[in-house]
Amino acid sequence: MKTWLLLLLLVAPSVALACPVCGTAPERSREAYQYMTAVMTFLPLTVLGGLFVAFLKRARRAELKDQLELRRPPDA
Amino acid sequence: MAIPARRNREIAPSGVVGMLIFIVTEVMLFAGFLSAFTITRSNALMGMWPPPGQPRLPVENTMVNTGALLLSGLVLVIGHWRLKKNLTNVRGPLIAALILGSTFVALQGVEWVALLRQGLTMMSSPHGSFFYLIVGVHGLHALAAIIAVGWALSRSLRGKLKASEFYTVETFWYFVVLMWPIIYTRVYF
Repeated sequence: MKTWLLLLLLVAPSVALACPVCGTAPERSREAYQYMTAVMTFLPLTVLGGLFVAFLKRARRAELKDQLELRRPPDA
Repeated sequence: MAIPARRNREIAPSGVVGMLIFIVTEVMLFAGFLSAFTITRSNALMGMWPPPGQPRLPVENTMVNTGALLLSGLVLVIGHWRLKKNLTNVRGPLIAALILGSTFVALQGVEWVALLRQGLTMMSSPHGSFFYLIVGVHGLHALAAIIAVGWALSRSLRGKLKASEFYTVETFWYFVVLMWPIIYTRVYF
């Protein structure tokens, strides 16, 4: 199977180059693909990561507030 | 010694958390649109955009719409701070946001009519298709945000508005406001 695949790639290299970011596309197009791939990859990570950090900070602040209230003497 | 019971403190209103989850999906929707637009534009014949025979988008006029929308966001920030003192204090900012948001949508409508007259339609070119798709979907979100602010205002006038409800509406409004400059700079320029 591997031999057949290798032979196919040797016989028809244009198929391997059909990918728009692999060398046949104009520079502008290649850059756009690469740029948008990066955006679509990192955007969800950044947004969800940002929300996670924000909630974590709020939870820690709330916990600290609870601890301070517990330590406070009842007549204070 | 009895261990004091651990209290469950709310770190964010449930409405806001739900809205944030919804906004994450909407951010990805717009990211998909803008990604497809960027790639299509990069493939334009000889780098010409808009394509020959298609009208140029009214960058200058849209700057006024953009200003109105950004101002509406600022007005709600003021409302946020006023809410901390009194719930009835948000009526003014809500009315102002409603007027500014409606101005934005109305001016967009005027712009669309002018562009349609100049021959830019959904079918005329990828330029038209992407413009109406991206700006139209944002316009629908702006319309939904206006309805939400109107609902919050009516609840406030009846004395029924809760702080959590205001925060939820406010979160959605900020999404609509902050999404626009990204769309404006990517699509219009």
